[in-house]
Amino acid sequence: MALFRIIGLGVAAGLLLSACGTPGPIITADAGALRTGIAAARQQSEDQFTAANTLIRQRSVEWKVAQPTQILRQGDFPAAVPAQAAQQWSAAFDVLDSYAAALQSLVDPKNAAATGDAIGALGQELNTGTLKAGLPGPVVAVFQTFGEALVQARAEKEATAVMRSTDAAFNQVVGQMAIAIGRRSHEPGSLYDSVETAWNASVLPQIENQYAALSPGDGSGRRQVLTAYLQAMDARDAQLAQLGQLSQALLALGQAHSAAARGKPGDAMFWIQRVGGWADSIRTRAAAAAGAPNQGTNP
Amino acid sequence: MSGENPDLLATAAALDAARTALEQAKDATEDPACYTALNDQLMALQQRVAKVDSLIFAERSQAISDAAAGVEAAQGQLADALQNIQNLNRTISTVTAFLGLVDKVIATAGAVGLG
Repeated sequence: MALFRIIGLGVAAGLLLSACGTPGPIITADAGALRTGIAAARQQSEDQFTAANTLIRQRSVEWKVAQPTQILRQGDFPAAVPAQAAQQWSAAFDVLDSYAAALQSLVDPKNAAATGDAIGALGQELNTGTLKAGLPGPVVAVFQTFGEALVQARAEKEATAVMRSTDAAFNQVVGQMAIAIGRRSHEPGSLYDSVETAWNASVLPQIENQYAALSPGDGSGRRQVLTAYLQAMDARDAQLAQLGQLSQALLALGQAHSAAARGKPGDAMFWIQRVGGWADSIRTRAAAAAGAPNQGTNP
Repeated sequence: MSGENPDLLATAAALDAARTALEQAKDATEDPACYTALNDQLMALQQRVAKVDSLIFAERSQAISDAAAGVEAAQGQLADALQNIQNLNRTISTVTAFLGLVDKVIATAGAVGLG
């Protein structure tokens, strides 16, 4: 039994060292967080597209009504986000979500647990079958746990490698999305610019002209227009703030992906916690093996 | 940014500069008629901005769509890695099942006096 114990400890120490040398961070949580972030950015962008299209369309209607021309054209009503562009964004978010889902599946601890279970079943068969191998329960538990741990470490290493090779493409997608949205004034061509211009060069000037048309003695009328003016300013600020947040959220998604791909400063602590988890798992399985029948020559 | 039409971007920048100039002119006048006329110009300008920005957004969305293909390619690698783990589990389970089958064969052989 002492021999088995020595073998078991030696194997455990060797596996521990090899596992600790694996550079990959624990990205199970990161992959989940990434997927949640992608879903949130998608929802936020759809909301902002709808709001921007509504605003731009309203301005086009106001403009058209004020024109003397009797000709009506579809081109009189440009969309801030054309339908085809919205579909392309949706498809791009589909790709990002599928990618994050594939990452999640790869690092799902259930896969590694299945390996541990399969090794445990093999140990049981070796002990109970014709071979009567007589493997001690604690040794089977060690192999079970470290087989599981190594599969998980390998999966995380592969996932990290894929994330590293995909990082530039991922950041290109979310980076271009962030540029298309925009987040500050005077970024010509951005959605932020379209919305800001609609407010500052159309909604507010129209109200200003209404104010200018009122007689200075019309206090009530002026008060009404001023209320509308202030409400419009608040609505503008809220919409622009949301667009700025969306742009920042998209950039943050890229940063989160890069951080997960290159590992975090706290990697060592993650691994230490993980090693502690392995030790607990060994103890639990060894205790279960000791209490179970047909588990070899327990001392 | 790749795939962008420089003429469209230059037009957008020119419209932005025109908007800034009109807003500065508004700030400088106290004449209501002039102020209203400048506002009318701004509203006319906004319609052009909406059209140009719409075209630029469409172009950028196409570039996003193209870039997404780079991320899509990674999914195959992830699927392969997952398949490798599942193959390992299947192999171990197959060995276990095989050993069980062998045991049954040996037991049967023993029962009929061949063991």
